[in-house]
This record gives sequence, C-alpha cells and structure tokens, in this order.
Amino acid sequence: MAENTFTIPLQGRISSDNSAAVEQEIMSKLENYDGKSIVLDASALEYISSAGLRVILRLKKEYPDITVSNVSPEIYEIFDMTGFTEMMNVEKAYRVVSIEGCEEIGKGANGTIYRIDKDNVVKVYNNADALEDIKHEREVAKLALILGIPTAISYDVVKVGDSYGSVFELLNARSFSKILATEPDKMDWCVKEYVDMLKKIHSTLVPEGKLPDQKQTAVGWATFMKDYLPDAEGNKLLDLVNAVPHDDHMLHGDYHTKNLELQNDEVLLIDMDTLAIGHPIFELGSIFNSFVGYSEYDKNLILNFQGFDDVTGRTFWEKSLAAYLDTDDEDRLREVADKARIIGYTRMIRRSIRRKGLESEKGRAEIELWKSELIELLGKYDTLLF
Amino acid sequence: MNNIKKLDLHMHSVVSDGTDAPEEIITKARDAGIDMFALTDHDAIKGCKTILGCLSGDDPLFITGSEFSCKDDHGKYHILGYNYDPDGKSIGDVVDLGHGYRMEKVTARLDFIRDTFGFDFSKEDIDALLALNNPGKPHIANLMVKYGYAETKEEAFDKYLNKLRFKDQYVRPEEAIRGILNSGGIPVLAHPPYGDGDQLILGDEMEERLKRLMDFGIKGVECFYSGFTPKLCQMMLRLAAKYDLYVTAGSDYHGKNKLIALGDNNLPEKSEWPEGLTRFIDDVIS
Repeated sequence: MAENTFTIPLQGRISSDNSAAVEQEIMSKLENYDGKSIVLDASALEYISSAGLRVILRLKKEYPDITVSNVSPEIYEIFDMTGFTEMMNVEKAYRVVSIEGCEEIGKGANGTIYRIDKDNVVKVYNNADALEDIKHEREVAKLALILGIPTAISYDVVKVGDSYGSVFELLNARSFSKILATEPDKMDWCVKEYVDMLKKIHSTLVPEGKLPDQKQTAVGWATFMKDYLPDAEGNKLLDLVNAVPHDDHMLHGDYHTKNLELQNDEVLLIDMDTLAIGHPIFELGSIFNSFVGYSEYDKNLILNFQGFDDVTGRTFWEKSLAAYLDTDDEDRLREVADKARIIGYTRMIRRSIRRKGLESEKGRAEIELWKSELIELLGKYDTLLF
Repeated sequence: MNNIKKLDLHMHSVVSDGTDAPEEIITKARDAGIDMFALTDHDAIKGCKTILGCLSGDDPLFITGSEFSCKDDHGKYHILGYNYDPDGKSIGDVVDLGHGYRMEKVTARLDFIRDTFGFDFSKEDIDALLALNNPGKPHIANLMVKYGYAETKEEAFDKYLNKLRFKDQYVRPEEAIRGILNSGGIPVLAHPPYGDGDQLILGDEMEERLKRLMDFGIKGVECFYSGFTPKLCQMMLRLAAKYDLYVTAGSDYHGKNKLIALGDNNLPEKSEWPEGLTRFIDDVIS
C-alpha cells in the first residue's frame, strides 16, 4: 500500500487566510504523482476552518482514495459533524498514555493491564503492531456482552511508548487475585463467584463462526508434542484430543483470578482476547496451569504473578473444581483434575519448548517433570470427557 | 415546464475576486453545459450589467446576482441576491454602502500598518489599489510581500493586517436583505453552515441563525454547493423544507483563484430536485 500512496503533511492552521496557498502547495506536490491514493497526515494540524475542509473535499474529487490520518480529537469532531467521516477515511490520532508508576492490575496472554487513574485502566499489548488484536478483542468483548457475559469494553485506543493500548473504564475495581492475597477469609466467596461466572461462560452458546475453536488449537498442541513424546503416548494424546466432540459453548481461554474484577458489587471479566468455543476440558486445563501447573516446579512464580502463594493457588483450584462439578467425590475430582492436567501439561511443555526451555537447565528439568506426569496420566485414561 | 437541467447560481468574475471577465463567463457557462447561471460578485452588481449587455439568443439563461458580505452582533453572513432589477435604487444603495465601508477599512488598514510598523508604499501602488473594484486585505498583503515587509501573504495577515479589527464598518444582514427585496430580488443565504466561508454553524445554531434572517426577509438557502458533504446538503434541505424556503445551487467558481469547476455544485438529476429549487426556477423565469 505504502508504495502507491502519497503522504502530505498538514500543518498549523488552515483557514480562508491561507487555504488557497495550502491548496496550491498540495497541488504542486502532487503534480508528478499519477496514483489515486493520498494520505493527509494531520498530526501537526492545529485548526481547520470550513475553507480548509473545502480544500480536502476538492482533493477528494481528484483523489477518491483519500485518508486523513493522525487527527486530533477536536478536529475529528469537526470531520464527524460535517459528514467528512462518512465520505473518506478519517483516522484519529492516538492519545499518548504513560504507565510510569502505575499499578499493574492484570496480565493476560497478549498484554498487561495497568490502572492509569481512579476510573480507568489501560491494557498494553505485547505485540507492537497490535491494532488488529485490539480490534479483535473489542469485537469479542462486544459479542460476550451481547451474549450476557459482564465485561468491560474499551472506549479508546492509545499509544504507550512504542506499543498500543486500549483503555477501559474500571471504577473502584479490585481483582480476585488481590482479594485472595489480602483477605484470605474471602476464599470461599471468591470460589463461588469465580465458579458462577465460569458456569455462565460455559453455558453460553456462541453463534457459528464468531469465535475460534479451541479444539483446533489443542489439536495443534498435541501434534507438536508428537516430536517430544514416545510414539505410543504421542499418538494417544492426539487421539484423545481428536475424540473431544465439537462444542459451541464459550470458553474464556485465560480464566484466572487476575482477569476477574470486582467492581462495586459486580463481577467483571477484563481480558477477552482469548475467547473461544469448545469443550470445558480445555478451559480446566488452562485453569489448572494458572493456579498449580506453572508454579509446580518453581513456587515463586505464582507469588510473583498472582500475589498469593502456591498453597492458596492449589486450594483455590481444588475448591473451584469441586464447586464447578458440584461434588465432593474424591475419585470424580481426581479423574477430572487428571484430565485437565493432560491438557495443561501439553500446553505448558509446548509453550516452554517454544520459548527455548530446552536450552536452559531449569527449563529442561521443568519440562522433564511435566513430561513424566503427562506420560503417567496418558496411561490412565482413554477419554478426556468427564 | 422549462428545459433547465444544469445550473450554477454562484460564481465570481474579475469584478470581485474571480479571474474571468464577465463576458468570458457567458462562454464558459455555455461550454460547461449550464442552462441557467447567475454572476454573484462580492458586494457588486457591475458584472451583471455587463453580461446583460452582451447576451445573445443561444446563451444560457441568465439572472442577476450578487453576494453581500454582512455582519451583525451574531456573526458573519454571505447573502446572495437574485433576479433584482439591476437599475434598482435600493440594491445600488447596498452596493454603495458596502463599497464605502470597504474603502474606509482599506484606508484605515494602510494607515495602521504605516503608523504601527512603518510600512510605506509608493503613490502609484496605493492609487492602483484604491482603484480596484473591491480592494481588501489580500491586495494589501500582496503589496507587503512585493515590498518585502512580509515573506508570505499568510505572514502579512497573521502578524500585521489581522491586528486591526473593525466593529461597525459592515453591511448588516437586514440592510442587504431589504435592499435586495426592494429592488424586486430574492435574498438567499449562501453556504449556510460555512457562515462567511470560514465558520462552521450546525444544528440548533444553524436553525436559530436562519430564523433570525427569515425575520429580516430571507427567502432561500443555498443547499447544493461545491464545498458541501452530503450530510451538510441534507441538513440544509431539511431546513429549507421545514421553513418552506427556496433552494439554490452554486459552485462558488472563482476562475483560476480557486480549484472549483464551473457548475460543480453536487446537484442531482432533475427528477430528484427538491420542490424549493423548481419553485425558485419557475418564479424567476415567469
């Protein structure tokens, strides 16, 4: 696209005093340009009167594919009110937000959430070119909201250093991780709310084609693992995942207590970019990892990430599973936990290998531990269903 | 029924700030396939008299026009006058009033930049300036650049000329409207959301402004205009229908001074013309 586009900066104030001169200047710059696509970069534009708007309108006649980029909020409003936004591509400039000294309140697969003031948080994306991710997350968050899942929806896209961020309103909210870390006596209450929300997500039917299928993702993990497991176990893992039936119910995909917020009396989900559809076993595998799996070898990990210790993490996992299955039958709980661990270990081993885990001593030891557990579990079960 | 399919009721000649002589405009309008046109020089009717004197049988239909710059406590307006009697005393009085103010302001500006900044010009240049039909800030700015007092016209405006503001030396909208009406013409508000060309007036503010001018006798609004988006056009068409006003269409052609083509006013096919426009045409050609 860049090769066939001509970019022209707009500067300062454009009014009837100088609109003719500005127009002539633009036309002279475009004299030797044969294309039809131009971009007016408005980052240095301070003011535009209607005389200036008319210059843009005339340019549009010559260059139908015209974009005005980096438009300040004030000028965007003028474009919007006059109908320019309906006629051409007008892109807002991103507000710049600093997260220096801001509290980290959440962390997901694709980004980290910081509180920027009393009422607002920003999710800073890991991927520097995250505009597509932001659009995706916004769409799935809207979908979740329409389907009845309480969630915050971003209202603005901002720049944070070299990254993009999306801003959400989150008033007086505290994450469940913080509650568990500071008020241990609220454990049972947290478990109940956490599981209620989980059940709500898992009972939500998603219209076809709106969200990715987690089974397909898991088939990818199992296929990857074939190179790292003995043949028999590798094949069995893939067979087990393949045998999980298609399911159109919603999965969160990264459902841990840092992604669940208590805002006044309402429980809200904040990290929606991993939403998918599929069988709940895939969710349970990821939940096991969050509270037990990742820190099984290195106990400090959970304390650093969630703010509570491994004992709290394991207790929360066990209580949540019992509440989710609505049983205290130990055999049943063990069975479902084991099946969750099969998914969990598969995911962690793959993740660690892809992050060069095999190149460090600690990584190798960790992978060995998870692998031995996985091989043992694969010998015990012939289905992942529960 | 008339055969008018394409019209342009807003254009400027050398009598104000366009680059075509009035006679040339006739040919250009005909070449552009325009069936009906009006010349609307700023605060002047001289060009219309010239055109009336040299029209021939197969020329497009012509109606007299003018565009008056007006100002009152509520803001600035450009008011178009159409189909007036070019020999009418009232319209002539408005032109004279505007011209008088214009000369006062030009003289005051020349005095101001001489006394404040020490900018002097030769007598020939000053005489030539004052002999123009509509001398104003752009002409002084050109001289300042020529003399090296300013690098660019914009600098001349920003740093010097705009430092002097006038409060009262403007034709008031009611004066222009009355003058047009009394000479048998139709007063129409030009490019309404753009005010005097540099503003943006929308929503309730637009409607209040229009109601105020209707009290003075405005009869129509320019709804089709080269510089309008579809949204602005629709906004004006709604207001015209609501208050039963004439609808007009104009390009604001200025010859080589602006990149606007004659006849460019976003007017749709005749079958889609609003009632206010067909009524305007019927009333001026009857």
